[in-house]
Amino acid sequence: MKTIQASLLLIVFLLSAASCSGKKKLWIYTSIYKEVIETMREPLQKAMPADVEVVWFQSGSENIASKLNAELAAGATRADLVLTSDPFWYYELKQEGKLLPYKSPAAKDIPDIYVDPDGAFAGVRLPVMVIGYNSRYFANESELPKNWKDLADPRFKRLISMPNPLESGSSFTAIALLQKKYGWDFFEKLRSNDIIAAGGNSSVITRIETRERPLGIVLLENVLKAWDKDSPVRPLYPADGTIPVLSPIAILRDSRNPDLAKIAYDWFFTPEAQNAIVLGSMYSLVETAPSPGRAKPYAELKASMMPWSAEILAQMYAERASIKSKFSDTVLR
Amino acid sequence: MFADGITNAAVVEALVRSLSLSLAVALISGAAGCLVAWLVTRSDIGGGGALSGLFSMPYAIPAYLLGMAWIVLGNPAVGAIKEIFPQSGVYGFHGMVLVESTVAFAFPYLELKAGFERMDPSLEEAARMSGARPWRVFRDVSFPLLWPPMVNGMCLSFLYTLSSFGVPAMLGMPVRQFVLTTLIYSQFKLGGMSGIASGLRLSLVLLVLAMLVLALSNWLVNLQRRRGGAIMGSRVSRPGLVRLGGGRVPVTATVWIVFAAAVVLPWCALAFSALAPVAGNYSPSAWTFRNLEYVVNLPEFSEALVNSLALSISVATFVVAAGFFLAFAAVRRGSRAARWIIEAMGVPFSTPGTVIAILLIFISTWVALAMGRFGLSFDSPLVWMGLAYALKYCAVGARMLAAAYRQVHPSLEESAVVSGATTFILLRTIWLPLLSRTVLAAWFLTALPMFTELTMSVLLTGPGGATMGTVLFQLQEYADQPSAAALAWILLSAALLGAFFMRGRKAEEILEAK
Repeated sequence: MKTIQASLLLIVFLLSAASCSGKKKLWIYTSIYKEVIETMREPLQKAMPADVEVVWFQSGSENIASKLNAELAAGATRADLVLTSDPFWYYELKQEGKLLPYKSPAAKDIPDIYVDPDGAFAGVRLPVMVIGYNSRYFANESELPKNWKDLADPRFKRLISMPNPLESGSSFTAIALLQKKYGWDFFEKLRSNDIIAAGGNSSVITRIETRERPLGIVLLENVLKAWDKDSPVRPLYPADGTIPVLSPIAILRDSRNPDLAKIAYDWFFTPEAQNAIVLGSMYSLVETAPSPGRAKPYAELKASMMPWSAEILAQMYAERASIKSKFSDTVLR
Repeated sequence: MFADGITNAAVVEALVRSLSLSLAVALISGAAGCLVAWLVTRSDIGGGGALSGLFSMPYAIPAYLLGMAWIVLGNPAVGAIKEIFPQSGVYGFHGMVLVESTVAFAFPYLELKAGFERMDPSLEEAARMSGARPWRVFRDVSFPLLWPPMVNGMCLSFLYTLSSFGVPAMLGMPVRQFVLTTLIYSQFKLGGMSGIASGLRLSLVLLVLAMLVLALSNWLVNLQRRRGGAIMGSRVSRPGLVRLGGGRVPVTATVWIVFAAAVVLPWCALAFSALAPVAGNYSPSAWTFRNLEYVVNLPEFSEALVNSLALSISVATFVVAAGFFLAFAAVRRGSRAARWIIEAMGVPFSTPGTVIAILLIFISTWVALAMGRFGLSFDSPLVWMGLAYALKYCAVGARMLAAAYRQVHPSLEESAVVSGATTFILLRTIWLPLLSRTVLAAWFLTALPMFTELTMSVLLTGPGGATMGTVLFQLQEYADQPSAAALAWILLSAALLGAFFMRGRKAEEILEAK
């Protein structure tokens, strides 16, 4: 028994030793889909010098934030680059001086509203929050809400769910912009409609599919992915504004290889990388890039997008704690 | 106010809900565990041999997947048995009690089953032959002898429920019923230093509660020891089974129905979800193997299988072996240090996994920084994950074994010592065979949750560190519910098959074959 134990421990250590190769490593922490990473892996590796190994760490946005925050608090992180979808976290990292400013020439086509004025981060893709609905439940389209405001209507009582904004950055962006536009009164009405605000975007899709809650505030990419699998979930672009969830890329100030990180940073704005992002059902911020299949074309969507800017981001960030606790009091309890 | 942004009343409410939930789960699982353990070891219940293994199966399903299965079953729109649930479906206190009890049941059940099997049945037979009825035999003979494992099993269920997060988050939060762990979580997530501080204050409450429960269970165990010793035999004659007589058929039927409701029903729900092309479309005409194929063909599936097997087997073996020696030192040699270590192990067991993982990220960063100074690098998520698993679950083995040592009268050991046996020989020839069932049960109870561990794994993982837990998280967050259900269904079916092939094999044989 002892020998089995010893040999298993040995295997564990060998596995760990095997992962220490001699190459320079560039660590990317990201929340983008594994499939998207797989299409990016080789081209990015080719774009880098030969003695560099790109290492991807993929998890949910919030897990990455927890992990990286803990690593930074302990003194250092391995991450050179981060690509997740919570703009407020980037703003916080910037305020704390953890990001390396870099005004990349490659990002010059990205609209100014999605770029940090000091160059600490720039939007590399644009997920949007829409209303998802079950097309089998709502056979008659006239029964559907037309905009966010309609969700407060009592006829949608017990029909709506959304991701928990305390857990998901995209959901927080949504409530921050919605309370700015409609005030907390709107959320009080959602509360009396018995909205479920729990889990992440995927659990909203499941609730829509199983008709437990056939309407949901959810990321468009999740809806499109489900649609591709013949799910009855369809997107509805609210007339009062689709919600943009700025998803930036940034270089960590402590990066051991800032020059390599810059090469990779630039690469993410190339058509190759942007096409991979579009294949992952997200909008590209480069105007020439196509829109994801089955999605409303970006040019059309742009006109009805809720306002966003560096100032709005700063303001929402300042109010972040109070928005979260107000939401918590109004909806979660 | 004790916590930021929430009233004291809300904190008290969560505290009361945590306590009543844990207490309900401990009592239900304790009573059910005791009853089923007695039925499968001491009565002529139909299919007892098969049931004995099958009843430990719910533990093989990660609690959050069991929760998912029940959500499917109780779904107000398409659920198969929505009628038996109130309007809120399976959400709410009743749902949490149901799911947590199903899983936590394994702690008292396996401890008590091992206890019954270790107990010399001639004691009970003597009582029976003197004319005592089964209940009297149980109350006056079996029960006092099984007191330490009983208390400890219930204590483990209680602490397990108290520190659990997945089920309350899944079944409580949507209907706004908070327990301490979910309240701590939302405090942490409120952001800002004040949120973290009040989250930590609440974690301290949780810790104090856990310590109180541990102290209470020690007091309860000692309470009984004062009343008298416990004489145990090993590999004694086959117990004469109690005849249930006219009650045999109804009792057998009831137990099988309970098993069906607790395991087969969720298993079917998972199977339907796994076969459904899309969540919510469960009609047999639409069934597809697409999700199962997708999961098995995932590039990280085989990596995760190897990693999870290697981690759970090696770490569980290490932890249970350490517990075997520690508990020996604590109970048989009266070592104060060993006793304190075992008590201290209760702390990580009742600490939410996220907190442990964040602490380990801190430590691993310091280690990496320190090694970096010497030009070394050490990028191994598996080592840190192994450490996290060991910390979180070391209490299970050590506490179960301590309770088992306590259950046995020292006469056997004393005679061995008199005959000149060294400690090693003592452990090898007396204690290991005597406690083999508990050792195996402890190993099972430690290895299984490690195999599917999710909370800590997703934070500690890295390249090359995929495990079953991280794959499940991946499927849940990035794919869809049917794929997650497919993986869950594969895991559960594998566990059921394992139980089927192990049925009737004696713990001694398994350990000695090694």
